[in-house]
Amino acid sequence: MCGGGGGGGDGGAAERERQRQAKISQGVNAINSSFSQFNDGFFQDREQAYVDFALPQLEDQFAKEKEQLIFALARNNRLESNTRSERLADLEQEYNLQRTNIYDDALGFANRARSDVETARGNLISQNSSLQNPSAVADLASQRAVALAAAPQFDPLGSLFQNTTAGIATAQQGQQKRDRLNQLSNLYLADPASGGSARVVS
Amino acid sequence: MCDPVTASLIIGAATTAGGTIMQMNAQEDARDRANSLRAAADESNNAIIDSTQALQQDAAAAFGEGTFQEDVQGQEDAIRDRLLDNLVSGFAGVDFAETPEIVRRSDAREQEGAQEFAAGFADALARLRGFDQNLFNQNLNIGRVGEATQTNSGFIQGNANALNSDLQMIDASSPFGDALVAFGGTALSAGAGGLGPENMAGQSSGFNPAKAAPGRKPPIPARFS
Repeated sequence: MCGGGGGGGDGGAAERERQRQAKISQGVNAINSSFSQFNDGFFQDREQAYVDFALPQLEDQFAKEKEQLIFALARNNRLESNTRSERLADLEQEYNLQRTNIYDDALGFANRARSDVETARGNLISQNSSLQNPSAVADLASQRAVALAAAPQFDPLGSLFQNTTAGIATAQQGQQKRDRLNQLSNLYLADPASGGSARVVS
Repeated sequence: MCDPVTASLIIGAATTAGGTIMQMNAQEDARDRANSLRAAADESNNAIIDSTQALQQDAAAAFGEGTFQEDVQGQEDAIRDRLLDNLVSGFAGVDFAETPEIVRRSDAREQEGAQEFAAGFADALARLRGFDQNLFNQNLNIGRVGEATQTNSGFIQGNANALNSDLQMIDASSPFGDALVAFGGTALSAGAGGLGPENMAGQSSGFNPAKAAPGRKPPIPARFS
């Protein structure tokens, strides 16, 4: 209009702000796209990976421990006794507890992986707000996702079964000790039937 | 045709009025632009606030007493099933052909006890982990809502800064209107003060409050009225 205002206030700053927000939104979408592989299935696979890693070690240790237990029972002539029932049941119970622990640890590993992914994602979101460069953020997200998707390193399991044969070994040792004492008694103590104070050692 | 003084007064009044109208129009335009910018910013901010509130309300709803307990129960059941399904039984293949019956019964009894213990352990662990797992999942969700809230707060702040910048850029002045008002004021003053060289010499041919118009009494000086 003739004689109108000098202009200005055409929303130039608002338009620039809209463009800035659009770039940030594009960056967020790029991050979410790169991280979409980290779904429930991914973490279930990660959980199963730990189970697959740990269970064979448990099976191996269990087989060896069972063998040692059977040998110990056999050495003490307790293979056909209630002691065998108790000891093998204890071993099986321990085996099951360790299996449960492995599945529980696997859940922990999956949660840790999930937490790591969320932390990485959060950092990228923060960087995205300051960078305002969707293509650069997409590259960063892609690199980070590749690193996070790499197979994890698990530490080997330590000794899972302890003292399975301890009591039996003690019983065996006790028996041996009693046998030795009996031998000594026979050697040095008087034979009540002979009435004498000593016996001839042949 | 009117005399120059009257013409000067008329032109002065007209240009002043025209200039004033132009100034008012310019201010009106500026107000309209400011209102339009504010409305656009409000619309954008309201959409951001609505989406943020929806996210926050969803996250908060997950902590509602009934919902949280249901989610915990769901997690607990899933973990319990997984743990119990993976228990084994039966002495892991140990069998002896010569085992007396009394020992076999002892085996069964001890095995049952071991199974009960392992199942009880798995059940207790599932109850513990069910709560932990649900809390963990909700925390992840809250973290994401926090991220979105932070981003949206940045957007709202950006909108406010942009609005402020745009409002400062609005020019409510009307240079032509200002010029007209100035010209009109001058013309009015000139008309009111008389025109021509005689006025400069003190012989006004225009309106002079100290001089009587023809056929009228001289005006009363202000100090006597």
